[in-house]
Amino acid sequence: MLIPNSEADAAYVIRTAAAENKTLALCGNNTRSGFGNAVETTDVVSSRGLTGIVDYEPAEMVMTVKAGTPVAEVEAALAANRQMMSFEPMDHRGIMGTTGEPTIGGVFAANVSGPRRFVSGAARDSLLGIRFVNGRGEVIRAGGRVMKNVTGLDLVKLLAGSQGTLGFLTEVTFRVLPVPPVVETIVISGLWDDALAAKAMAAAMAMPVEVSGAAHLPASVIGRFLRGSLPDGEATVLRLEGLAASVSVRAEKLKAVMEAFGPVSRLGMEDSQALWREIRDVQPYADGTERPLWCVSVAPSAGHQIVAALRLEAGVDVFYDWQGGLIWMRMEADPEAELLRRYIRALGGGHATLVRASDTARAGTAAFEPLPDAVAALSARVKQKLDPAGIFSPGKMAGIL
Amino acid sequence: MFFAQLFKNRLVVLSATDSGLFAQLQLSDPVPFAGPFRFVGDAENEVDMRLGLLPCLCRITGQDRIGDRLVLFHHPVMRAANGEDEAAIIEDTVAQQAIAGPQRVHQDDVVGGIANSVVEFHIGGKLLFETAFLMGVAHAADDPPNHFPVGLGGAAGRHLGCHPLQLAAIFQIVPYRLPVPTDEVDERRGKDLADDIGHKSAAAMLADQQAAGFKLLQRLPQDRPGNVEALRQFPFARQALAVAQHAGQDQPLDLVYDLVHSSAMRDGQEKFMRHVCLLADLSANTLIPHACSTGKKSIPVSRNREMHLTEAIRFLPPRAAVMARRETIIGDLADLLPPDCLIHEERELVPFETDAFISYRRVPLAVALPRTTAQVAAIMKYCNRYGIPVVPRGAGTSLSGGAIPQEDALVLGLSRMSKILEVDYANRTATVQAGVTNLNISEAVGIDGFFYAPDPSSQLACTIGGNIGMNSGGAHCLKYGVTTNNLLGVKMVLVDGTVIELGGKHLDAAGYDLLGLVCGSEGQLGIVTEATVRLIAKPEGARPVLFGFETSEEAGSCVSDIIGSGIIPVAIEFMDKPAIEICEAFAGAGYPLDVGALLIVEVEGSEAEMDAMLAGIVEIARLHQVKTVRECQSATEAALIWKGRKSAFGATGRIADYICMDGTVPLGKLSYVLQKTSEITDSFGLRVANVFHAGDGNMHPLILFNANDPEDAAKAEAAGNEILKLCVDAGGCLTGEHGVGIEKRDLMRHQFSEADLTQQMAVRAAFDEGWILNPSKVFPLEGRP
Repeated sequence: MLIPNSEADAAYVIRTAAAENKTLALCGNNTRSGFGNAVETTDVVSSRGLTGIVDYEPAEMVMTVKAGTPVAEVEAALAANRQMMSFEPMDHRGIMGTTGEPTIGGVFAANVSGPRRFVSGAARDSLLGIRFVNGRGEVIRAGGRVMKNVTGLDLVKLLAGSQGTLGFLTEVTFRVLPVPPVVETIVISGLWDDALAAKAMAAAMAMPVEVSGAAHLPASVIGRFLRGSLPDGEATVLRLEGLAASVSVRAEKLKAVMEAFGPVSRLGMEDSQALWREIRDVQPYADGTERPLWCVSVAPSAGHQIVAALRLEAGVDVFYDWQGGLIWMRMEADPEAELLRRYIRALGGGHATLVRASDTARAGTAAFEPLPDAVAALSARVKQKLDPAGIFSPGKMAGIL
Repeated sequence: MFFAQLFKNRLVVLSATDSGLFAQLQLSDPVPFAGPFRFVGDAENEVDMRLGLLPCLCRITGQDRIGDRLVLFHHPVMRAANGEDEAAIIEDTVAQQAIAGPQRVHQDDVVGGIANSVVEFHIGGKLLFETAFLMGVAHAADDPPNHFPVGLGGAAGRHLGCHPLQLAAIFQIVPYRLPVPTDEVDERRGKDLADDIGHKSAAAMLADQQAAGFKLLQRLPQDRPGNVEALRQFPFARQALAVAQHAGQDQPLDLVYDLVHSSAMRDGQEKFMRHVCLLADLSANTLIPHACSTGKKSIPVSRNREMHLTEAIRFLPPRAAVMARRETIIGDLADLLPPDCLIHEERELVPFETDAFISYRRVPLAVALPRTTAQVAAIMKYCNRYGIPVVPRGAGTSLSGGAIPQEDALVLGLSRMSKILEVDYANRTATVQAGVTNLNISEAVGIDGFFYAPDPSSQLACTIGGNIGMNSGGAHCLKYGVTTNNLLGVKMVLVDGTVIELGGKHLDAAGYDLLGLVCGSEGQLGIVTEATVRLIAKPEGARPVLFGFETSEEAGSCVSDIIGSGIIPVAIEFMDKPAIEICEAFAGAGYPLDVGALLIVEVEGSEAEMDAMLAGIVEIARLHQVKTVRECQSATEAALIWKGRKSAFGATGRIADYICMDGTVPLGKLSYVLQKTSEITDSFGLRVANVFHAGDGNMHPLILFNANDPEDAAKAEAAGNEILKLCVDAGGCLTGEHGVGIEKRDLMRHQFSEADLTQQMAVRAAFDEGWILNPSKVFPLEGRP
């Protein structure tokens, strides 16, 4: 493994590899090594030698960090100033069975978000600027340090979520937000019909109460949350955050409407924080198995329909986040990629990402949703412009990327 | 003075306004209307104009001319249909202007920083409609200020049954809802206005207008020939008739009848409204603003004496191969499009020669106004094959010249693709065609408690396609983000005519985030024809509070502390001393004049929430030695707080010409940048006023100068460039929301290294190898691949 200690070193390493026709896998600390198609590369370059907070002015709500900095270090610095990354980056170690410290570069390279994503945006929405090394070994800067910036092409978005196939991130600048002083969760119990739960969540999102988390936890997973302390049956959970005065007013309003769907109870600050962390990290499927685990993103009203259709043909266990639009789906046997993707297409589109499976299962399955031909061709051209020789993990995102 | 420039040597064509919505000229951030300033009225107004409106105009202004500009009401389509000589009619109209018309002018007061007058229109003793004029302010250097009414097709909208806002989008001006008037003199009228508009949602107004149109139609006689004939008495039908005739329909009146009236009888109100909207669409889309005829002597239209600040920014030289084949290209394009979708006659091309960055103009080769994605695809395929540059255009409200064409370019206007295709509340999305206006989306979903968050100040005219091109922001982006954060998917035509879809109702990309790349790419990567955007539940209410501080530094650090405290207001607006003085002198909003800087902070939520948040904000302000705190207890007081701010640009335009910069700086550098900005303008001997969104660091310094003095103009442009460089050097960027366009293109090397730019251009080439998409923009002309 190559561990450059500076951006210049990284550029040199990559330039050299390009000249020698070597391929490189890019990583931080490899806690998300399960992402993407398995590819063999000549070498691995890690950003773990590039660490440290470069610039953090809490009053500006912006932080600049070297890419290899552990997420924990970033979060600690933010917490000391009562700030946070609003997109709640999930920790993949539990479901992927990996160890080590996730890096901030990895969060952005994989565009990793959490429950707040559906209202506050993804990692890519908070990312303001980057420095990276392209496939020619050139250091490129894109974006900046300000939250409103429309100067030039937005390469920041392009690199976010590119899974280390377009460039080697060396530094990231992102927007942060104040930690809401109060968090509360409204729990609606007993919505055994996922469709009804989807309705309840949609109704909550249509209210002016600023719900910042909307998940549905079916009976099969309920025991895995809050040490089994949630009542048996299903729980549809809605998070409210903000100033104490706001949260209490909104909670009353929300409760009044949600009571039409089922019995409503409330979780206080501590339980709420724990619950949403567990939802974020997909605790029910951090089960130490290699059973295929899908992360499916669809329109919120399509989520339960896809699950209902699949259940007739395959053994699946699921829970929903993002108002029902994010399905965490564990297959009991095979990944059933074709079946799943067919239903996604039939029910309005979206994508399924295989985040965990046995090596055999992974080998036979495209980890990322296959793209339509024209989009795939365009993506390949874009890749070629950033990594002309195709040295960064060729094939990781799709056959041609 | 701004208007003086704008109207120089141009015939200005105006139409009447509606009582509910008012054109907003220069009143908000920063120049909220499109460049070529031509408005067309409807058929109804033409009658009134000739008989009454123009005298009314004269009565108000005291004269018919503003400087060397003739102000007239005019309806080109109607005239063309009647085969009359346009110029002769205009002269005729001018000759008639002393004739007293059937209208009464109620009053003529200054309300909300603008003069407002309300006029009733009578025909045959019957009150037809009431209309209000918005008074813009213009004066030439040697004249005292003159008021002139600038209308909006609101009255036309009422009679067409379509929303005035839709027409406004076509007329390319920006109305706004008049703040509830508070001036004593305006009390009576104010009450009426408040009843009429202030307390009614736009959706409710729309519903009222539609119901009225439906009732009108139901009162028609029942036999068909009678009906058809009777249609002639209705303005909307007459306009549609003119349009149908213009389009060469054999039985235009029957067509109109079938379209609208029969459906009113047969299908009930809902379907009727759909048809009326179709009709409005038809009419509006045919009412391409025409340049006036140059056929007759006295009409002061000249293409050769355009106003330019300077000619510092170059365009790419026209491609000789394209120019040589102009006629063939036009013929070929005509074959690809329905008959009324291609504009190529010179006088019809003029309205497309610029956008809101009016200093630069180029008449394009032709303008295509396709109605479908398939037509866009056919055009792109053709243009790509023959290397014909294509400049996409929404409503033409770009402040950076993003939609200014070039001589060898086809303007691809998306304004006719203006349908809302689907609203999906369960998934909180709206899927719309690219030509739908930004505000149209919020209007369409407002009645159900939702809105579309990005709100650029041109939101009434600007299209969602243009918003995507520029990644537009707005006052509310502190809380809700900009376009890219609210865009879920697009349908887009690539340069070779391939149609692709990116994103959808789901979140995040399956592969590379091409959607994120396309958003803000200024029309250089493809033509977006449809978009799926995120809807958000509307907050219960909003309330501002005004703070006055001794110094800009105190105000700036107060902004940081408010944000740092965990309260995220929806807007934090900043004004410095020169701006306060200009606005107060103009608007009389009661701003404190003994302070060095002023903040307007607005919060959203329920009453209890707003109370709690504002209490917290006031407490923070007190820690910064705030000198003035003005909270509001009523909508009237809230309107008063916003009044000065909203008139800032108009008020500034009254005292001088100005150019508006758009750099963004880190919040911690606000005070430093403000100080340096005034040093820079001082060194050029110019004045500067600052009014901007402080919460996100997006500065809008207004550099004041005299456009009639070329030296002054050059200085202003130079000072502007210095200020933008200052923003970049302070850790910010050249443009926060207006885009690079041509305006800031040549400054890109100050922000980006050669390698950065080369990489961006390489990615651009993955979409458009031959540089035919909006090719003169964004990237410096030198050093391109």
